[in-house]
Amino acid sequence: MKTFDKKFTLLWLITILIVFLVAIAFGITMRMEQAEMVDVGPLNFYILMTSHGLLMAGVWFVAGMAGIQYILSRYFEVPRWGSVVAYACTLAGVVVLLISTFLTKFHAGWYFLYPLPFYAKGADSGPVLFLIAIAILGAGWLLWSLVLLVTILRKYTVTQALAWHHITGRPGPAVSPFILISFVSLIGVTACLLAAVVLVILYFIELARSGTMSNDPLLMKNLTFFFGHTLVNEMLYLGLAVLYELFPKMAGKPAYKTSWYVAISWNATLLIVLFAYFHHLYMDFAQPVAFQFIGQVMSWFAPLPAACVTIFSVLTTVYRSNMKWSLASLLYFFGVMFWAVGGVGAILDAVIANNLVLHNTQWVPAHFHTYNLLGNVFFSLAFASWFADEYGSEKMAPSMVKVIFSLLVIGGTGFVIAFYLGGALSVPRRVDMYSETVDEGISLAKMAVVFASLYLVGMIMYTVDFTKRCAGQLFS
Amino acid sequence: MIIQKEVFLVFSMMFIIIVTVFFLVFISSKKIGEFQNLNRKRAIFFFIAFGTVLLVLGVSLPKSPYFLYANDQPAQKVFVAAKQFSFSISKYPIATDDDFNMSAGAEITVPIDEIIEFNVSSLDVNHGFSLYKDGVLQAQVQAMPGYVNRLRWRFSESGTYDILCLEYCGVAHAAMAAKLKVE
Repeated sequence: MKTFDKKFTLLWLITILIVFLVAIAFGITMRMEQAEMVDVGPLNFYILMTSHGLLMAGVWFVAGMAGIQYILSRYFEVPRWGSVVAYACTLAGVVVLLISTFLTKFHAGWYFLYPLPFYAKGADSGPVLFLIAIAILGAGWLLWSLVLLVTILRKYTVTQALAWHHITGRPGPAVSPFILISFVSLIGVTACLLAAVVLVILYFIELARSGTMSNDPLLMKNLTFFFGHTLVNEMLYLGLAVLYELFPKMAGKPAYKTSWYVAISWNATLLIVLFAYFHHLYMDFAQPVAFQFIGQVMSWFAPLPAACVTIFSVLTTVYRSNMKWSLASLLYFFGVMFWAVGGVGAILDAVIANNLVLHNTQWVPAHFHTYNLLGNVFFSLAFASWFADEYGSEKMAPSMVKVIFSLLVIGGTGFVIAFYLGGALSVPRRVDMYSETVDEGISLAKMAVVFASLYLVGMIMYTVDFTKRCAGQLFS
Repeated sequence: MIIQKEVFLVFSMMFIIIVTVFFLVFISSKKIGEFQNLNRKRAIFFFIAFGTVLLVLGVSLPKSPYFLYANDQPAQKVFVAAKQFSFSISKYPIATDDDFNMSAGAEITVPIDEIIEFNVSSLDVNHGFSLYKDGVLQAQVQAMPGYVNRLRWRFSESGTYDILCLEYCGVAHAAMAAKLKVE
């Protein structure tokens, strides 16, 4: 069982790293097109954009899940088939997705805002194939999250897994922060994947009725962002759950315990995250104002429990710890720093009055790339580094640690700063070229290409080193 | 100062503070010691953050654009319809493709320092209706099929405003633009 868990986690990690490199290459090509350094044309640009977005969201979601699956297997017997089915569905979903985008030219963007899939479809089979890809991915991941939820519930009741007894002081089993955060995040994942299922069903009903009925665009938009926003948030929390488990040991400190405020924080996060997505619809003035206000209030309260507790814990763990830094601990520590920076960018955009001039500008990719590329990705790379240090043939050479870490941080920071400047200069996001009105975007795209290339070099070195150290384990 | 610059300034300050704190703690990790008064400092940290959130919500929510000139009578209503990949702007409602074609390409002029109500919708997919002056985004609203989004706005500067689509709407999205004159 344990050998299987190790090998399968390794398979997940190698697959994730390879898909990540491909998705980065797509992203750099998009920025090169915006910088007028290449000429792929608008259709290919939006095909790349659709593929890049969905691959990135998907790959780092499964990275978080693979981390959770592995750490859970150290606590309990976790059924293998959930992860195996999810792996098969992920591979099949990615293949169908790439067929829909590159062969049938589907180009409606990763969150395929209704009714765009019927207009930006390429061939007639484009939206059908794309929706099949989403259905395969959604079904596999939903099943996986249910398997993990049930695994936790075999040992704990719902209230125990939510650590309510740590709040009330009633007797009960000690629940680690890892179990609590995993449970909370998996509930959120299940909720948003169910929304995706409903969304896909509604699309298929409309397709089946071929023009005789149409869905409500505002309802579809709410479903889309409930799914997309929540998925991206929860995948970050999956990475954090593993951080809570591994980071204190890296610092030579005792394991984190679930105190009353940790329990309250993550229970609050469970609720808050489900309602923050309304901020994606601020500029839809037809949406009831009460929802818009809920969006801003929840977006501003969201960082309080999870981020404040985590940031404070990580800082106090490292403070005068005399710890020996590895690539894993560096990525965790600075991943939390960039998560905080990206969070500031996000909540500034979540002020409705600011959103009036920031919505759909480059401020949006600025903040989500900060807490994904430099936050969430760092958390999963930290897990992979820890995994390679534990089970690989050798430790990473210190010089390699310095080079890879510097490339990722310098490359990633310069890349996101180009987006922040773009947001401040009103440069729109998701365009293949910049009109005269916003032509500052061209030089910022050139800057982004240079820094993203540094990040890519760092990731290639990371992937080669990881594979060299661990691939032997896969076949041993 | 325009909002974008204010936001960028606040963000830059917070960026510097966060990075400084993390680097100081990182440097401290070479030493041995204990973090003193952990619970007290955590409580202070939390209450400062909680207070800041309440303050920001209290100040910013009333400034939401839904309330802009809500109790005033607009001097002019302007109807905007979006359709892949152009805008149609008129003083009359645009409900059909014929309405759209009739006013497509027409130049509209609106008065300066008066309240203008933009009634924005779409005849196909989601689009964005945004107003730029000299490359700076002034305001925006989504153009959604089946719904009308109403944005009230007072132009304080005369001249030609660029209208750009800010919601990805398909292959020629980047070229979807129009002009509005303010006199």
